[in-house]
Amino acid sequence: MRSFFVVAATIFMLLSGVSGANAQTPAAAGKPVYGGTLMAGMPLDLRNLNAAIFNATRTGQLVSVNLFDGLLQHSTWGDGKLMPGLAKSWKMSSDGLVYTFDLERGVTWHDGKPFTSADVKFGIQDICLPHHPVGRLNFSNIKSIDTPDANTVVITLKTFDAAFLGRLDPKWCAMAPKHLYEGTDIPNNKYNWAPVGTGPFKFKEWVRGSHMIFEKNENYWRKGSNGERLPYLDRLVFRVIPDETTLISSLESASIDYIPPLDVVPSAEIPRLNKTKGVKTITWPYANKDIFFLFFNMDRPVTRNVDARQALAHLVDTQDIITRVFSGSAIASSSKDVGFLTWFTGTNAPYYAYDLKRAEELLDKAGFKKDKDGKRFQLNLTITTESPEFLQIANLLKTSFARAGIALDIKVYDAAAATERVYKKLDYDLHIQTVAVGPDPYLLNKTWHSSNIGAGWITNASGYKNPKVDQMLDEGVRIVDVGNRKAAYGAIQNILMTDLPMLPIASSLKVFAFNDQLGGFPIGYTYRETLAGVHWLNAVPKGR
Amino acid sequence: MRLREFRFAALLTMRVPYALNRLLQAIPITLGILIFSFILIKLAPGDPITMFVGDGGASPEYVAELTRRLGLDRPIHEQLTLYLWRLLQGDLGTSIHQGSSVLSVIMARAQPTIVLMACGITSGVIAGVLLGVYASARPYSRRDNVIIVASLVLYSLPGFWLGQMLILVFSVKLGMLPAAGMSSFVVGAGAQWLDYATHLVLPTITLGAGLAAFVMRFVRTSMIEALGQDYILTARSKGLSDLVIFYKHALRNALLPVVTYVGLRVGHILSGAVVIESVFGWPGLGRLLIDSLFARDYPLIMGMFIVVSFSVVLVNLAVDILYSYIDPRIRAQ
Amino acid sequence: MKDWHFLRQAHSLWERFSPNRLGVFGLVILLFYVLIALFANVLAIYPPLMTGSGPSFAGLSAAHPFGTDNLGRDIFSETLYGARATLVVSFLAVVASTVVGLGFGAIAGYFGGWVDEALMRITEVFLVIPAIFLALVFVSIFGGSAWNVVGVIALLSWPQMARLVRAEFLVIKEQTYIDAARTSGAGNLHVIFREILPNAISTVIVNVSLTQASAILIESSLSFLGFGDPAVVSWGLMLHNAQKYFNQNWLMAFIPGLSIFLTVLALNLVGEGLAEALNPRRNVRAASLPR
Repeated sequence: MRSFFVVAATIFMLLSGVSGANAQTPAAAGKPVYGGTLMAGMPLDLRNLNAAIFNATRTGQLVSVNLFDGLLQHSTWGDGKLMPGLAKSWKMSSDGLVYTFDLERGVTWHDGKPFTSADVKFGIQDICLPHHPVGRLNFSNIKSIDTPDANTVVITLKTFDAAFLGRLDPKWCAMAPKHLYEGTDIPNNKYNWAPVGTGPFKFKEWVRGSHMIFEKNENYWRKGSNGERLPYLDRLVFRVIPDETTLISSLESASIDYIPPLDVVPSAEIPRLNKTKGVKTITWPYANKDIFFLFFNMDRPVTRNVDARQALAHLVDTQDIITRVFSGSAIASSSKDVGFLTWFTGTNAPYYAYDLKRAEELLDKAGFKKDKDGKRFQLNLTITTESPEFLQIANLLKTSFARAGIALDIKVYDAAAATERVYKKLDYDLHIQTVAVGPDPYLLNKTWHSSNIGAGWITNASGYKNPKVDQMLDEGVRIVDVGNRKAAYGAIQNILMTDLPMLPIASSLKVFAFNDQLGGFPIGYTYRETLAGVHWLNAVPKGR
Repeated sequence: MRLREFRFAALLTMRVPYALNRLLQAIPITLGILIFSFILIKLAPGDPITMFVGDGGASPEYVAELTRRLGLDRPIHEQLTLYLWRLLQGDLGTSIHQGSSVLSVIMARAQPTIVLMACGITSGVIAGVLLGVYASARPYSRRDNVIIVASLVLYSLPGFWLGQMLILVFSVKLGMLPAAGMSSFVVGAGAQWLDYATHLVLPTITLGAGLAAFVMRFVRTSMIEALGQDYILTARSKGLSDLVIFYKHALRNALLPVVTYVGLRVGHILSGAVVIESVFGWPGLGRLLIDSLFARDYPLIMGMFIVVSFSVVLVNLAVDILYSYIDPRIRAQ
Repeated sequence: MKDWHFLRQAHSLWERFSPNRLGVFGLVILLFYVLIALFANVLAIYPPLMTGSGPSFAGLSAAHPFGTDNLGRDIFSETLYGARATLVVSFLAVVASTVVGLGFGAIAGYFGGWVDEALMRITEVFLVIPAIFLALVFVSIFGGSAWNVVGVIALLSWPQMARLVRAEFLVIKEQTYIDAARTSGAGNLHVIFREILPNAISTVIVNVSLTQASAILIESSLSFLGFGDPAVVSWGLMLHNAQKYFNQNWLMAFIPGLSIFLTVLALNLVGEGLAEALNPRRNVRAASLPR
């Protein structure tokens, strides 16, 4: 019965499109109770906890978001809307340059001091702008910040930026307390490792490599959807369990209650976990649309040729990849029905179905004929160790490319080495990487704007230089009318899928795996959701 | 008896200059390790700044500022000399990613590893000694052969495979023991001790198995040799009540080499512990090493190299002195 | 004439080795895996690393005797090909480490004095750094290609051989027949290679077998942690892949793990058998200390 609901919900979510309409699974049976501890298992320890100045990995986002809030945040269901955070409402002037934020009243920091507009001004100008890795990119456009009173913040921009409000999301600027950071050496401030924020949980303890403990914030300002007090839980414990098999068996044996969606649960395990007593899973599409892309190096003899690139695209059997690597828990990013930007633009773009014959025709046309042994050429495929899926996809590509006489040499590096080789020196032929193209398509600049060639981790590694696209991308951020903006990005999508510097393959569905006595799941689709709404059902179990 | 004590004292005084000599030799070795590892790590492609920044990139000003702050813009020989100078003052530097001093990070993570190794070594040695004595009582008998084969099997098992199989059987299928970590955060002191104990069982067995196999063979051979000595045969002929005394005598002779042997293998056992920590999610130095390598956290990697290598040097030193006492042939060198 | 002498020695070695049933058993297993490695391309059903040879996690069948893995690769074929990588990588590493170790140990043991001191200090540097630290750092920096793994394992194994050889040399060179050889005018090189080494060779041979066992364990540990060469089928790599899929097809982990275990066991048994055969009443506390 349970598995029926999960499957039905998944199909429902898939049918309602990748952008996910407000699709929540039916509520679990049981009455929410306050209290208790939640034991979450995570595969990595964090490096740091201050979301304001450290660009967190996904693990970090899921954890530190429980301590910090931002002025606003992207909608938890990934439909592109913005939800109020510490700013309960805001107004934009008609010329789009002045934003006025009205702050929540009665918000206090975890140490009891009140949160005011002075914190916002200090936070943006003195913490995020200078110290966040992309702080300057996000906030240099701000002309001034004024605080007419303790509950109002007025931000004036230099030029219009359609994506400005999104930059106040806690991922880019979480609010940290002025009274603890002013006048200190901010990157070395001890509160970076024992943070004080406004979030639903307070920092209690961090034993590196072992666990982190957060405790309930009694005075949390946000209320639940029915006005109820939040959070429900008394305590959060994040345990570091590096081995995936052990994580899953810990969940099965109830020594942990929750595995966050960190690509730990292999999709092959999902049916089995659903059948396991006491365990429940929910799969969902990531709102930031992180898509597995195949990068082509536009500077190499074979891949500089557009016919060759399209031929290689025809050799990628997306359905086979989805079945074998993701056990069906993934969505194709470029197909007959949908392109990689369709969630924003509403329009499709050219796509490349698996077609061996067509691929061979294109390769012959491009001048790469088979020799007497049936071989055409050899390429190297460079991948990193971060996701096991990279190697699996690479292995599948090796087999399917071999059918067309192409030999694939797989090279594996860790992220640091790959940053040098692939993203700075562009020393590779093919590369596989996940790239986020949402929640706002201004993110396309990172990987397709020519100014970002060789700029570092996950930037324009294909060396794509198209002045027209550059111009369209620059303008795309400044278009005010939503309809026009969609059309503009639709046109960009068409060009990118024809030139094909990168081929979008698929995006995997994420999984929440948790104790079925817990309610409040799914918490959201953006990796920035807190566990404030999660609660035990009917009674807190023994030992919690 | 008095003659034995006298000989022991004499040898000890003779060993002091040898001990000092070895201690002095340990210093250039440690220095060699340091410089060797510094160069090795600097050769690695990629740098800590990129890892620090994470996905999303960074503005050039940010990168420049961070490089300057971490001292990574100075020439290499300057970085090395600065590092060595600080080291002499006992400062291992600050971890780039964790922000706290390298020494404190290592000490915090060293404790679980030490606990695991201590339990593994103790259980392995005890099991090995017991089995070895048992086998040597009736050499070449059926039970002796069974024990020898068992020890060969245990010794040949890959540690990580054994660990996985144990988890599969005892944790997933039978649900008797926890699968991972050091504790389950239970409340109550008594329950906590029990909790620690249950978490220790599987990793200890995995780590101790190989060691038990070795020790067992060693003890068995030593015991058989010792029991075959003439003076024991003569003593035995005096009466059975002496049997117990001679077992103790033979056993004592066999135990000292065991201790020295285990000491020599500490580096090897540590390597085994690192892999096993990965299997059991044990929050120790193994995981720290892999994370810091991935992040190119130079101070932390170097710090670990130094601390671990120096510890092994010290243990080897102690063992070498004991070893030279036993084996006269080596002592002459 | 020389060949006949060598054959006679081999024959007498076999005479002393064969009563050891465990040793013979080990030899049989070893030969079994060597044959598998040699004839993998004949015995296997599918080419190596071929994904999609069947559905993922297929059950046991004639086409897939051990089922398939998560990408549809046939476990039976992969295991056969895996034997090649495992045996070849470990063998090459052992050859390299033996040559280097022999060189160091012979020179240090024979000449003694400051030569010995210097060489032994260098040896100690490598002995002191725990194996896994050195291996991981090396492989992280230089990549996990098969040749790098060979190099790393050789780097980790040669000190033990050097120590062993040195200890043997120290003992043997004090023997009277060595003095005899020297007084009759033999040069240093002659004494090393013709007089001492042949007598030390038995320890070396025993150690080769045992070193290869440990080399296989190191290689599979590295691959298991994810630092091996992903383009080459090896048992360690198969175990690394299998970690997540215990519940889908536990044979993915069991079969390669079992193969590693059997090969290592076989090498240990052969090594032990040789040690017995070559020197039945050796002193355990001296050079031939078990590794």
